[in-house]
Amino acid sequence: MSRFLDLTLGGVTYGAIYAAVALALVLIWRATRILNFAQGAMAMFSTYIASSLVERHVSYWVALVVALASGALIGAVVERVVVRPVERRPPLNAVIVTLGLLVAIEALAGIIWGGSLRSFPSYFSQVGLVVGRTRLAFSHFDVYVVCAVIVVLLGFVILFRFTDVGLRMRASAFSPEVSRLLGVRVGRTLTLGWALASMVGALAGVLAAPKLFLGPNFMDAVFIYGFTAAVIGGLESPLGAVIGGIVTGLSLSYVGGYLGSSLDALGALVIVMIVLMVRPRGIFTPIAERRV
Amino acid sequence: MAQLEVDGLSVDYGAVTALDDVSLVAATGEITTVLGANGAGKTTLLRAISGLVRARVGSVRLDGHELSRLPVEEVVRRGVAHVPEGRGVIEELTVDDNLRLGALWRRRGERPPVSEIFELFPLLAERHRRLAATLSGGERQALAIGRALMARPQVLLLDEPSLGLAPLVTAQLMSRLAALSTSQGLTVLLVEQNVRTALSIASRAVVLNLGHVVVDDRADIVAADADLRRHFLGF
Amino acid sequence: MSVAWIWRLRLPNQPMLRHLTLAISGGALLFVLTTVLSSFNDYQVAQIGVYAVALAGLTLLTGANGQISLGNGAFMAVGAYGAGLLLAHTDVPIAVALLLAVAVGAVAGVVIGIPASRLRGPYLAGMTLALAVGLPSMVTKFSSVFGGDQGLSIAPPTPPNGVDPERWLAWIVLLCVVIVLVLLGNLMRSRFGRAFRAVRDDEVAASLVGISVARTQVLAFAVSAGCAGLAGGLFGLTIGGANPDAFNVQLSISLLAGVVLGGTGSLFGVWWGAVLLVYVPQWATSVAGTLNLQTGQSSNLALLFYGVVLVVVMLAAPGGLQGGIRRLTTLFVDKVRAGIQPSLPSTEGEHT
Repeated sequence: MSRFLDLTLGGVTYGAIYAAVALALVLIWRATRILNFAQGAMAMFSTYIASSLVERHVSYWVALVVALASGALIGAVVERVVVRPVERRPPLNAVIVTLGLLVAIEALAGIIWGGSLRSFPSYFSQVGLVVGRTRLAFSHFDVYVVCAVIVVLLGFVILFRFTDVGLRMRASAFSPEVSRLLGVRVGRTLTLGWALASMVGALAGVLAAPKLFLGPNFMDAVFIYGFTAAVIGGLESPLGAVIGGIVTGLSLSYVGGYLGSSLDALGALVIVMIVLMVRPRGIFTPIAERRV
Repeated sequence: MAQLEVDGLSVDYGAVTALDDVSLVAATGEITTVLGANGAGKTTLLRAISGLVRARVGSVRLDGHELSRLPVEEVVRRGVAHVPEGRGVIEELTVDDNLRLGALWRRRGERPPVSEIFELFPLLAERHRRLAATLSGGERQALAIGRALMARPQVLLLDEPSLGLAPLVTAQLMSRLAALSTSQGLTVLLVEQNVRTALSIASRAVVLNLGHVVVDDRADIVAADADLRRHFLGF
Repeated sequence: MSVAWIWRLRLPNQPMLRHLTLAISGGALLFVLTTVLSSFNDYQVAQIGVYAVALAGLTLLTGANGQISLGNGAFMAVGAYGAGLLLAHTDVPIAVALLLAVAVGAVAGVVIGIPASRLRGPYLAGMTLALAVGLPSMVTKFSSVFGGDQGLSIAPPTPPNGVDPERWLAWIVLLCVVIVLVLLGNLMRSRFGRAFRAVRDDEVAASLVGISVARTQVLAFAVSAGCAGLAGGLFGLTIGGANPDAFNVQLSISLLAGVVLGGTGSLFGVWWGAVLLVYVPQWATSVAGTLNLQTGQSSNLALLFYGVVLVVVMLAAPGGLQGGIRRLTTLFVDKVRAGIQPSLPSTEGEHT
């Protein structure tokens, strides 16, 4: 029983991280109909920037803010320079472009910072909390992780539902031409969308690094699982992304715990296949018929 | 003053010339209607004015200010509102959100005229929290026009507002349009297939044929000219 | 002596002959290279051939049929391990092992292709990405069969007397490339090829004319995976073994890069892509050497180059290098022709 509890708690924490990645992917997908394969790599780069600061004895919180800011900057630059030209072209172009970015950014990080893994501070204790007489597989850090992601989700809900910026972003995503006719600067709005998404991605990187150790490829698996989460939830829905994240985290935790850890990636594959067989566009995506 | 001048406008779609040396003036506070058969270039004209399409040569001026090289968002911010063919109602947003969207760029300054819009189109007021996808054709048209008016434009470009609407609804819409134009000094450029109704509310009529202007005269004169009507307008 | 007749050379019009001609001329060129160059370069030729086979399959899947697959590296692994296990436990000739590699790859292609046929765009890309990441881990899990992280070792084919083993291998690979290119070329011209392209361009229209979209997608997957399986088998022979690290995500991404750089949908561009995939790492290694970077940084440099090239090519030339070069060549040849023989009538003949 306690094993089950530990696996569940572990699954929730990792699930929150996957949910953050999924949120970033959903945000970009809704804005530009592009799946950003480079999201994990961009997050990794921001995390490395924070790590460099921490090495120079900068406080964790300042480094975190810098990571988020650099994430936003990277996202904005990538959209404006690299993605904008392919937004109107067939989807294969955007896939290749983001894949190219993924490879290039990881290689660049390897060149700048070297390939060996390094540790990243967690600020909060990673020792399990004690409840009664049992030590749970849930630490102060894990609480922080889950809370951070919840805050981000709430932030997005508020942003989209109640602010002008959010309305512009939704309108630009649904009908860019009509939005332009209403005076919305769609280009800038899309750039903002990418910046916000990459900021969330950077947060995921900073949250994952203390657990996984920082290396140029450390976000590869996280990206896959975040993508799994987004796909399960359907790329259209932020709430779906979070639910998908928790489901993915829990499933992988149970698979790894009961069937052996080397099977996680395979487990993710199977989950993705099963969900997509039943709902080829994710669980929360409404099915739209094409009218002939 | 909100006079819209189009001067020598030519637009190509690849090898096809959609508009050829088109010039017209939409006078302040008047309704100018643009008529012609399908494919005559009417929609292209409006799209070229608002900037969705780039003209090869020619200019578009609002009170003397050149609009033709500006991006769409900037043209709109100069006071030109374009209600496109098919209305362009954003279905995934509510009526309220659609309306709000219309006035967003005017954040500073006056409050957006939501209540006026609701007075003008009471059906919208009743359905204001509903998703735009649930609206009927006539309601969507009202929403599209209301949304365009939220920004208090000086010029309103309308592309076939009567399309798909029942005659009674069309009549109501047109009379409201006429009232609006008079009361607010709104300059309207109205592209229409429903020639009779358009001519009844317009002051001026421009007829396009295969991308050229073939008639440009007072609306009542055009309406009375039976030969012209038969030749270019089909009745 | 007039050389005007050169300008009148055209490829034969009949498709089968044309493909044969093209494939053989490509292969012959490389054959000549192998006889002239040292045995180190035979190895490179073999590598080029391996990539060419894999790229041919992926070109069909992604270029002709429009399905984005990030998992063909995994299919290569399937072929490599299949052939490797057969060769390790039995005494069959290489050809049989390679046929098995094709078969195993094709079966895997069907298995993955069936669920994949319902997916589009990013969902398909993501699923195949999960395959690329997940399949190699199966190898580590069942390490008693698959040899775990060390992998299997595969003995290279024994050459006939007097022939250098690496050269022999290069010829075997080249022969496979020629066969694959001819077969795929014909497939692309057949009604199956038309079905592939029809589904890529407009599924609804294709189904309205009676094409079964799902079956077409699965067939494309199976063919592409079969090619990848063959490439994997050849790869195993070339490097002397099969291990999970050789078939990582980077490989799958490189394959897609090769297809794009070669010119999506063009079988002829497959040679270009394959050459780039072999020579870029080498170029990067030498650059890393001149810059005195640590070992391991050369692979990073190669990857950085790949990534940047992918992005730049997609931004500047969406038709891929093959398309761009084709245009340039046509321009150049037309100018030269006009310069040398202004009285020659201009013809509509096509360069492929």
